[in-house]
Amino acid sequence: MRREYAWRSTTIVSIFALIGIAIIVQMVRIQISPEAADFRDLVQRNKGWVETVFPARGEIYDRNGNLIAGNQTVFEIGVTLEQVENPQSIAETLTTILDADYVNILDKINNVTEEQIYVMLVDYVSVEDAQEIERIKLALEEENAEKTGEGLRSLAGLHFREHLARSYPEKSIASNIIGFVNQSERGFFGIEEKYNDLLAGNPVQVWIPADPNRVEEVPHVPDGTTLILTIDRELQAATENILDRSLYDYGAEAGTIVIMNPRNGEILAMASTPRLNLTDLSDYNLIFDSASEFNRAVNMPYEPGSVFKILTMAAALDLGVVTPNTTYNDTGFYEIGGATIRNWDNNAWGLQDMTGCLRHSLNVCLARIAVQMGTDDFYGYMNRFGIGHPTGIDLSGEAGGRLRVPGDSDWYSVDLATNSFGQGVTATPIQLMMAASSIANEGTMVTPHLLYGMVRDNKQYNFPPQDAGRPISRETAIVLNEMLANSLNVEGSQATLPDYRLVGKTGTAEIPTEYGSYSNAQTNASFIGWGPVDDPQFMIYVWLEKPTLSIWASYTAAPVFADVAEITTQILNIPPDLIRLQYAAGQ
Amino acid sequence: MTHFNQHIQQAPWRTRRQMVGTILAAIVGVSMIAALYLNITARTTLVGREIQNLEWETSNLKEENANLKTELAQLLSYDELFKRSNALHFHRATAAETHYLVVPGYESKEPVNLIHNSATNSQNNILSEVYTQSLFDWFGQRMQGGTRR
Repeated sequence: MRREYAWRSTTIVSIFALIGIAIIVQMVRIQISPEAADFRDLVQRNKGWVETVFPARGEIYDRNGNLIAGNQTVFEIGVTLEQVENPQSIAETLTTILDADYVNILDKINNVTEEQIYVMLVDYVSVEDAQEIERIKLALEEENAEKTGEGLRSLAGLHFREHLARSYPEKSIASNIIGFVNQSERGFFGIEEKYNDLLAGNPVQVWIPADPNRVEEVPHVPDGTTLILTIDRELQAATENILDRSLYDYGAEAGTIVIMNPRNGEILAMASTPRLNLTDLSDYNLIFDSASEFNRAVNMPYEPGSVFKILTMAAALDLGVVTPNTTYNDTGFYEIGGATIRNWDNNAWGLQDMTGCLRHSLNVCLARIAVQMGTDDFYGYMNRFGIGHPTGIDLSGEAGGRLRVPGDSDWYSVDLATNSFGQGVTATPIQLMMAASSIANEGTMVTPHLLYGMVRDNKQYNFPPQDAGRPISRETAIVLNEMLANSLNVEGSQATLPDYRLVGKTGTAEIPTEYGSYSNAQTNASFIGWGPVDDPQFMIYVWLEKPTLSIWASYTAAPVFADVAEITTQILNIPPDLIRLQYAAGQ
Repeated sequence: MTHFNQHIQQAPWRTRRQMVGTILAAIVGVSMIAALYLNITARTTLVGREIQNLEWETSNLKEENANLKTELAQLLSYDELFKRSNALHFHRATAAETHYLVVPGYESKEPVNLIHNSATNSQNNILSEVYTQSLFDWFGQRMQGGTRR
């Protein structure tokens, strides 16, 4: 009996042992079989997949939290080739709804390689259009379910993939500042290009495990950084309106207006013409002849003319070459280096002090002062004002302008005189604003900038303003501020604003021709000004290119400055001087 | 002890029973651990799947949020607001129409703080401090609370 049981036990144990051994043998066999690699691939594929995660592009806001650039869902439409039944139907539908090229679509579907399984046909299709195509696809599927045969209309194989794309709710407002993003998600011009890396974030290749237990292994890919700009949307739009109206009123070819806070370099508005509607980038080639036209305030240096005189005067006052009370007898001409410098009206203005010199914008006066200073001091000061160097503003493609200095092959002694009143030297409006900020800001020059702060990982980081040096003393700045205010506030000036004491200077510059001479029929009309005098809160630069109603800045750029100053005081809530000073006294 | 060993040796079936008992106890122990492991693994898997679903939902909501923000921005864009205000016969106040009043304590408008206004920030505050504070923090808080009382 016991033996019988022992036999049974042995048999059962042997069977299990054999099964175990067979399993082990099979496992080893599979491991070393030629198909092992395929099995391993299969396992790897089913374990998870690699995915490239493109972070959502960071948004752009103005200083008041208005969205200037955001993201919106769009669709990529393509075909899974083996499912396509009727390529003509697909091409026809996309042509009708999306205005796509029929031949191009058909070509994409028909001309494929053997390895291809999917072809992208169109991208950036709006949600509405994608839904309409999907509706037609479903309707055709239902219709075809009851029919048989070849040649039936069908959108089978059409595949929709949604993703986020850039959107610009304000269309053309501030487009010169913002720039745009192309279809490969790369920023062009302005903020979009300058901060492309921050906005775009870092696309990451991520291993997504199919095993839910390993979900924690999937890394978090942060979205692109959101930026807050210093611009004020209302002021930007109002400035653009004034600029557009001015071009029409004065018959100018193009123009730019910039408003900056001279205390900290924050750009409050920056209008430039022409402007691109950022929701329709196809017009780019029609609107712009060259990339430098995208933002004239930053990308296009020009000979600014008499607005430059404030820098010459600042240098002379700082050096002690002149004081506000220094007088001289204006004879109407000044000879230097074999050339004769004349005043804008070719007249002699007799005995003048330095305020009169600025008020009447006398070229002869400034040329004499520059010669008195000498080349080393004059060009040394211009260098300290940043003329000839980019300001470092956070916009792409900033131009540095050109300041020829002694030692350059194309510098002549007469250049010292002409440079003193802003001819023979090129600078961008933003360079001149940065230089002039030292006068408005008690000697300290500020770096113009557009980035107020950025939001990343749920934290907002605000950037402090950056000083760009101290080219002149506090005393010089205060004295010159007063001189410029006195020279502006004269009878007949079109750059004044009732109840506000402002500072300003016109600039009418002849435009150099391709033959090396100057055209006196076409000018660049400019104006730089700021206010209120005792507490400057805004600095405005106006540049009108080739105005035809009048060539003089005092009749074109000056009234535009007054208009912009008025709207600026309203939008920034700057009360008239009397009320402001009363309020300050009561504090 | 000697007495006990003698009893065991006299009845071999006791030894076998003892061995079977030990094996059974081991099997029960292993089964319990396996069951516990299975239970925990199953729960972890479910939670993992739930996290995957929530992440997918978060991604969808983020996309929807981006769309809504853009839509809202379009509705509140400068051009739209200008059209609406014009339709309501509003116009921008001119300098002559603007009257300034001294308002005690008025502070000029500061640039936006997006985090201060954001919903994500308020979501962070939904979690009670109990779940985030360290023992030291908790102790400090209790001590402060005690002092106040």
